[in-house]
Amino acid sequence: MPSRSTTYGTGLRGLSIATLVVIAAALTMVFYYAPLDADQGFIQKIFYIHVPLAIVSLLGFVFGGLMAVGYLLTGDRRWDMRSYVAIHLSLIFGIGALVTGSIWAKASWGHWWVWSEPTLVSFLIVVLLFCTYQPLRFSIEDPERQSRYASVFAIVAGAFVPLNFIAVRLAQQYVHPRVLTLTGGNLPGSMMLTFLVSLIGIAMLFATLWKYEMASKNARSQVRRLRRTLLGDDALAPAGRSAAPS
Amino acid sequence: MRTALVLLRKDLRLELRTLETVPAMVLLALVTFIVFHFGLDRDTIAGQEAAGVLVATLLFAAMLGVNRLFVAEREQGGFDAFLLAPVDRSAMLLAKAAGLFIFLAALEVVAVPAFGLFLLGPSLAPPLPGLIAVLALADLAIAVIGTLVSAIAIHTRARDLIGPVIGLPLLLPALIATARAAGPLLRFTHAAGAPPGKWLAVLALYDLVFALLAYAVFDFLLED
Amino acid sequence: MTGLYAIAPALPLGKAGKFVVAAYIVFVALILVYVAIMAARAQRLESELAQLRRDVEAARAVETARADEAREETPAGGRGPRPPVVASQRDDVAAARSGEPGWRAGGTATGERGPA
Repeated sequence: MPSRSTTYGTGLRGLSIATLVVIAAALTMVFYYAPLDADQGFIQKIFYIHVPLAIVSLLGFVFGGLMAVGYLLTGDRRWDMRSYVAIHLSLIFGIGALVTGSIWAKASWGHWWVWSEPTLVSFLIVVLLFCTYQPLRFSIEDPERQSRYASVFAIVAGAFVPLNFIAVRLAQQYVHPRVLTLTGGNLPGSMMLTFLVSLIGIAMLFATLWKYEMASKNARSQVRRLRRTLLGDDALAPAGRSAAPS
Repeated sequence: MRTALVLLRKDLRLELRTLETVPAMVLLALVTFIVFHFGLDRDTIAGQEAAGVLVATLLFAAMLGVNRLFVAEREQGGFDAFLLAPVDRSAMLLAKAAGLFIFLAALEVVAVPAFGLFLLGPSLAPPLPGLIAVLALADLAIAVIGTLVSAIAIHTRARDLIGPVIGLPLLLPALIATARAAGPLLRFTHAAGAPPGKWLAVLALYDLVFALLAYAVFDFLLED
Repeated sequence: MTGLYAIAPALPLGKAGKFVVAAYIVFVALILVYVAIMAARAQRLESELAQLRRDVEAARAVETARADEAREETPAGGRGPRPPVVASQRDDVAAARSGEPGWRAGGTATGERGPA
């Protein structure tokens, strides 16, 4: 076991402040700088929260898969912890993207859910898949095996993300005009700039929360280890069965 | 490769002697057809609707096979014996995936003609070659992903639950492609028996990527 | 709400505005839910730390009491420069580890990574 200790709290304050500044700037730009969309009008403002949430969530899932590779290569449980936190945050962001997407669909097409928007459909599939991550972890008792199996799942599911988007996108006929593409290729410059600032803001928010949760989990495991060092193995309350890596 | 063949032969012999899995899968498929007949209240179906019914039925039946895949190993210590033997771990993946593929093929040999007999409006004969190609690629995806998922699920507490719960979302893109490819084949006015090449390509890509992925991660599921 | 209209008359809070506001409220609500979950975790961490402190202090009190007993048995009495080693029997790991400098130096534990 490596004796190097990591502190995730380092730089967290600076990152938090920077995130706050960027998100405040993004919101200001969304409502006061970006022009109203010619077709959709004010509704289109949802785009600046929905799409960044979705993109960051998907990247977070892939990031979780990469961290899981780290676990399988090294066997160091901290990689599993990183993967776990990334996936669980991405799931929260993903649910946010689904709900905001649904609101957008209702506002512009009159339905809470539209099957003709392939990005939304593939996103639903990805979120459904990652919803099984916690139950999987929870149903494996041995912590080492839990980490190993969860990592295998995270890798497979991370690779599934892009594949799924290819398959679903091909399966749809485009009934509705596509108001957004993930690359934002058809956006005017000021909208594009606003979008990019929002994207960076949400990505920084993800990084901040990730570091925050890692610091919290790290502190908790330090307390457990301190207890064992000071009071002996017997003093350690048996860790309840948990889905979270410890 | 030899190890995989030995394991495969063991699984097939076990299935032939006990007849545990495949008959149950066939039965489930037939019952599902009946459910669809009454649920849709239709005597015959065609086109995309028929493709949906066929894919959903085959998927349900396949899930039974996926759940049973490693049960014998788990219950009778086959894993320990396999891990003790000085053989390549990937042989297990190859053997189990091949076994599942054969089970699925056996299921379809009965279920697809039964589908043609019970529910399908148009004749089954003209689209059959195309349908076989599509189903073969779909079976490959189910076999690979099913083996992977089953190997993950077998060591969990709620194993009958975890398998399908993880497997179904992973299979969704393949199922979408299968249904979309089979739809045009099952229409009344089939101009040609060939499925759209786009869907075959998607299925083949899916098979390839998941085969490589499964090969890369499978060892970690056996290691103990 | 009317107050909001008064200070922000430019906001088109009509039908479209409601949806946009709803979407952004979803975002804020998610963050707040997350903060609430993390607050629960912080609370648990705090109580674990408090428990640890209580346990360590209790262990030290037991050790001090034993040390006093041991001193009373020796005829010389008087406070020695360091506590006697009676407590550090092999079967009493807890007492052995809570020597004067040990329980404050959390740093020894921070670097160490046992199988968690």
